[in-house]
Amino acid sequence: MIAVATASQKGGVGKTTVCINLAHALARRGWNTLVVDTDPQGGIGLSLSRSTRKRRGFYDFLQNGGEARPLILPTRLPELSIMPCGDSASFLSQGAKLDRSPERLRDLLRQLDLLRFDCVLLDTAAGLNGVSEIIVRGSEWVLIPQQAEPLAVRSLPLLLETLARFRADGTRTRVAGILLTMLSSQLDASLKVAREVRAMLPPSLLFQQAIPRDPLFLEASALGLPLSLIRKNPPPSALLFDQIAAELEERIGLPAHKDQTHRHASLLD
Amino acid sequence: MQVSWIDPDEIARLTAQLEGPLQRDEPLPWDLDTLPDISSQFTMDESDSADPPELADAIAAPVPESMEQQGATPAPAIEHIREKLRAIRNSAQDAGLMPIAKTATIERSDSTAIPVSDSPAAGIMPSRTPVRIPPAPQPVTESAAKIPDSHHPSSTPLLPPGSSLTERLQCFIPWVQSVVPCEDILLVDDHGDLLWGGPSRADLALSVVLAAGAGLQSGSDALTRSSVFIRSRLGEQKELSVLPCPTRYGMVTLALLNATGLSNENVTSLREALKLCIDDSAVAPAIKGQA
Repeated sequence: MIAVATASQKGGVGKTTVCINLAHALARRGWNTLVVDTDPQGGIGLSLSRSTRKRRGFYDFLQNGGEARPLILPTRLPELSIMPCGDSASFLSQGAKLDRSPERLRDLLRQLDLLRFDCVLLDTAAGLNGVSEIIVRGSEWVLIPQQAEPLAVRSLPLLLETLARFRADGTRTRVAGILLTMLSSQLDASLKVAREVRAMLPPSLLFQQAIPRDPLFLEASALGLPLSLIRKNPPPSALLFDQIAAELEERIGLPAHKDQTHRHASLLD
Repeated sequence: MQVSWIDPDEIARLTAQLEGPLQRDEPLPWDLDTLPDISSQFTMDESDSADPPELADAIAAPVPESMEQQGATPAPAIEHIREKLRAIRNSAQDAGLMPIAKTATIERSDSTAIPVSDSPAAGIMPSRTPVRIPPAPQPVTESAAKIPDSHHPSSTPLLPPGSSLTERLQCFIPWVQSVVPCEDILLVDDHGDLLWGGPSRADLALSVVLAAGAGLQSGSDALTRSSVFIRSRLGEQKELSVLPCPTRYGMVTLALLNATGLSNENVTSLREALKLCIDDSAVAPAIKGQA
């Protein structure tokens, strides 16, 4: 199992949208995928169902430990499951004792591994402190959605600096890549940001694909669906996530990891 | 005109740091992969000495000061690891992934059980070379022993606090002699190494190990109960009384040759005193006592 956390200094850059659509794309590609909503706002649950708000979830596990399986909600796609945010208010209002949280997170990931998930996407709150820091430090990879707008991209050095500091003090988390989001081909400033970022960052740190600003995302969230499910014939933006999923697989070594743990027999055997 | 206001040099420096090797190769705490193996625990918290001396060279060597100063209290971190290992072992046993350690079925006179599975897996002195012991003169025959309540032990041995195992055994053995008169006394650890007893008695060590091993593997935890022991006949003239005792370093077996006057009370006292002697020692060096 591979754990991938999202991270960004700024809010509203599309982390939750990326998580939902990327997880759906990974699941459709056959990976047993779980999305864990670690954002206290509960964006994953709110995006997909009106009934998840009162469900137990990630923060209940962080607070009490125990068994992870009952916190996992299946979806209509068998390869895709959700762990909602749970009672974050209770956890955070009690002074948020974070000292046990790294251990609990490791316990959670171990349990998810035993439940045979191939990939776990952890959607985090904005900023790299508190619970989000613990989640990023506890994950093998971090995916950085980066809004293709001038103000948003100016926080990129701070984010990279924070991740470099984590690495300097022994955290093994690696950067899966920076994914440009909300790229607007109509806006010169947005295109300039994309060009500048591509010029500055090595290809190993930047996804080839970028996610355009598309009104269909708004429609998808209104329906509580991933983008590819809002129409019988998925819109082009939805297909981008298939490419991003394929790129992510290669970046984090998902096929190789799966081969190590699960070998298939030959078709003719 | 640049709109991102980002310094390319700064980005290049940061990306180099992110893509470079880890500056500190320290894993996350309590990662299961980093737990020390069980045999290394003893060198970690009891003694930093490189290797225990072999049996043939073993003498009651003075304990290095650093070891003395360390004391026998394990570090909290080690305790934490042990707790985790214990929990993992219990879970594995509950799930049927690990067999539960079994002990001997033997006639007994009290009901206080001390499960063998709670004792550490390693012995006091993991020796580098196996001890070569000639075969016992006759096959060991074990019999359960029900003992009379006749002889009462005087008291517990006077063990110098904070002393090494060598010093404590030097106090313990004469006390055993005073409680239960016998021809010879041997102490054997989990690995079959002699903790006490001259090389001339190495053949008896095999008998002790066989007797204790057979008892412990035959399916009950009775053997480690406080007043139960094994009696092994070695020919017509000799008889070994074998008392396995779980300690925090593993099973340590006390064997008395031709002991007279063993009773429920003094067997209990012997076990308790031996446990006290081993468990509270500052270090656990190899020793060879002169019985």
